[in-house]
Amino acid sequence: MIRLLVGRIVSLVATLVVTAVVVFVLLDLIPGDPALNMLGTEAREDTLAAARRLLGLDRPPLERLAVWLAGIPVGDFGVSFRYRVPVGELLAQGLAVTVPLGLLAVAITVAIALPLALLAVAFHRRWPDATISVVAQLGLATPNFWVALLLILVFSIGLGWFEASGFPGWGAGVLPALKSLLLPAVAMALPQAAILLRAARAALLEAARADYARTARAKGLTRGAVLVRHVLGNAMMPIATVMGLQFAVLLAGSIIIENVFVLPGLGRLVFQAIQQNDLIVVRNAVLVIAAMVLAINLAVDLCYLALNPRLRGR
Amino acid sequence: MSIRRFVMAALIAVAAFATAEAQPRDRLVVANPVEPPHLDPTTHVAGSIREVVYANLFEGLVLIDRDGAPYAALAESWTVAPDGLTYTFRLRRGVKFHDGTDFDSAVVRFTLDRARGPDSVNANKRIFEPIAAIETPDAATVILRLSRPVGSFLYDLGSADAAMVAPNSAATNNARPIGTGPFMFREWVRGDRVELVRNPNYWGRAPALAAVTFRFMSDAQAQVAALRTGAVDVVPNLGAAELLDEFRNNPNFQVVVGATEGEAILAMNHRRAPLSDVRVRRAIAHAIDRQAVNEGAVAGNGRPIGTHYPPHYRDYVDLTQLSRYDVARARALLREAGQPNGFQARLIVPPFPYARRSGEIIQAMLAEVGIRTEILVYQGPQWLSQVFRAPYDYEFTIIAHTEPFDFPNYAREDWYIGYANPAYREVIAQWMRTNDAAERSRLAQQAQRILAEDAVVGFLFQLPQVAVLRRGVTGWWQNRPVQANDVTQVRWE
Repeated sequence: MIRLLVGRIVSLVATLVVTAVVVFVLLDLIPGDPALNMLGTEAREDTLAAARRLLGLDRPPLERLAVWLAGIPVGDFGVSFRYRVPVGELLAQGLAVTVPLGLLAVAITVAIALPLALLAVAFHRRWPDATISVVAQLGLATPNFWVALLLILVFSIGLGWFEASGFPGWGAGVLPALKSLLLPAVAMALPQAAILLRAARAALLEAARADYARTARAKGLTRGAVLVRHVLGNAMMPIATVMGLQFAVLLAGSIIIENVFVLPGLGRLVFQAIQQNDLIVVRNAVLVIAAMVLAINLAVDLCYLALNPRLRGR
Repeated sequence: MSIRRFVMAALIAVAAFATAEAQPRDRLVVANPVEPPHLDPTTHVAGSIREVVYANLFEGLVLIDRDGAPYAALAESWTVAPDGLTYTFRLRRGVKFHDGTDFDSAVVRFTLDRARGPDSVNANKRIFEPIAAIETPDAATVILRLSRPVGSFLYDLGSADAAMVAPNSAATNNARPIGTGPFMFREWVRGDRVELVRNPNYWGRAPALAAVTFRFMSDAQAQVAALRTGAVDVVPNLGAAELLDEFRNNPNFQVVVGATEGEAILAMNHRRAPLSDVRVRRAIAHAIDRQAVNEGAVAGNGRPIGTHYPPHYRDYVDLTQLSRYDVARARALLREAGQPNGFQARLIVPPFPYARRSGEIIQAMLAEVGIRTEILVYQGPQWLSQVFRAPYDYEFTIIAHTEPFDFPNYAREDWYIGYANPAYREVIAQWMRTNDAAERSRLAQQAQRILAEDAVVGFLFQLPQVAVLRRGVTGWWQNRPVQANDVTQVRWE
């Protein structure tokens, strides 16, 4: 068990190092000079050279790679070309929006999908099941940015319950901050809920057909008790797999939603950094996103162990 | 609810409403389209920095007013020697930076040395290059000795690039700007807003506003929604002109159409055939219906230009007739230039809306006379590197040059246009040297004529600025002679 964990962590770190090198090389190949971006169309050679010195771009690539990699373990990610502040600060500010947003979206996804899936299975092949399946089909076909625009139209412009965009900052209080994350989280969650709903319904149906479920019914348990006590537990493995993938998608994939709602999260940071050739921010952000996805995968694996006692012996 | 409680509640609500109304309005929320990268205008070219800090937070020896003229700011007065080589500034006394640091001649020396030194990353270092020596005989006097006369020197000192910064705060101005202006930095919530508050120790007349918030909204729909819901009082430049009618017909808003210093042009690369041929360039100029471009790109709010000079200045010469829309003439000129069937070229456009829209319209107009263009939309950084750096790998691009008085750039050998006309270079050299107002205006007009006659680029329109203000906001600049939102004179009525 511990050996398994250590092995997983070692491979995680190795994956990150390889990711870092690949990202560095790819970004270094992109045309465009950050110094020119800083000084504009009228820039002269002497100021451009001074700007490259200031940004550290006058050093050879290998040296810059080494300095970057050596700094990461001690939390020194370098200084943003564009903002001229430590990248670590920018990442922390972004994560302070993106992680709560992702968690909120996951919570909403689960809160919608699991009860509906249980309902569908409980009324299998009757009208609630059919209705839920049609709604799920619609949800799958709807892109989240469109949901976002619809939500803004209805709840911000129409009803005036929410601000259309922006984030007051956690300094303004937890409730106002959470309120500004609610619409974006719903927009992200609805399509994901449809996916999870379908996967959960299929997994639950399969488990409901298993012998132990029939035995439990024969023993005299009600349909609902069988679903909750026996079927749900056994169906959790495939559901956890899908949830893990979704969590990664929600954390790393909030770029579009953060732009629609003008949220200062990691996604918007990356988007703007790419536009502005702030490559040092891009490569660190990519690394952070990769680390989060790997960490989620690890967590899902650990969940398997918790969910399925048969795996623990190995 | 009992009747008595209802009445009480109603009374409290009315009282609260009344007090809210009675308070003088002294806060302003402005929606800027772009969040600044940081807040130090002396180390970055971005206009988004100037739109927050110019005149509000940072001041120079002189500043530029709403009519585009320099006025005394941190310098109380100055004299210029007859040969134009010596500028003596008398500084205001008792001026303090927001952190309490004294402003004096040592600060001026530090600011100018930092801007012209070998490690300077000032985007407009050329301003400081003519300074040969800085003398500070006492704390309130600065003498600048120039290596050559520069007619625009005083004006240049009014740019944000020449803002006065103190030695102890210069390095951190990007995140916590410390200036001498009537407003002080309070907070920057990244991705959302910068807040400024009134400087209680300001040397000059205190501003009417107690606080100004600059919010950053790139999306025009978001700007409109924020105006409607009251979250924002001013949108200095509404992104989508087609949304204006709603505000024009609404008594709660004022729509102010003004001009900027941005000349929108179809730039052509003279280093490449056949654009090196003046007949081909004239043909292109005649092929463009600039009024149609103006309508399509900026809803007709711009002013068509026939040369590189803002039409709202006295010295402007209307030369649009020289390149009037005439397809037959364009075709004839192409035949004369040995290009009867036109040619193929790339039109590399930056992602700005005015540029992309102009690009599509111009592509169709050029196709009329046989010039087939392929539009390539590049991101800012790649566009900058490819178009503005040697080897200048482009044929056409579209840009609005927003620097004030930037027509001398066409005389530069290392400029991306590659315009090589000795006569023009001579006019510009004279214009740069002379301090005589009449002579300068004669030379500026001559320069305009040469640019138009040589059809150096396709001159399109002066980029407009369309502001939407809530009713009661007064003192907002109509035109934008410098890229700034100077709120020092803004008040609620």
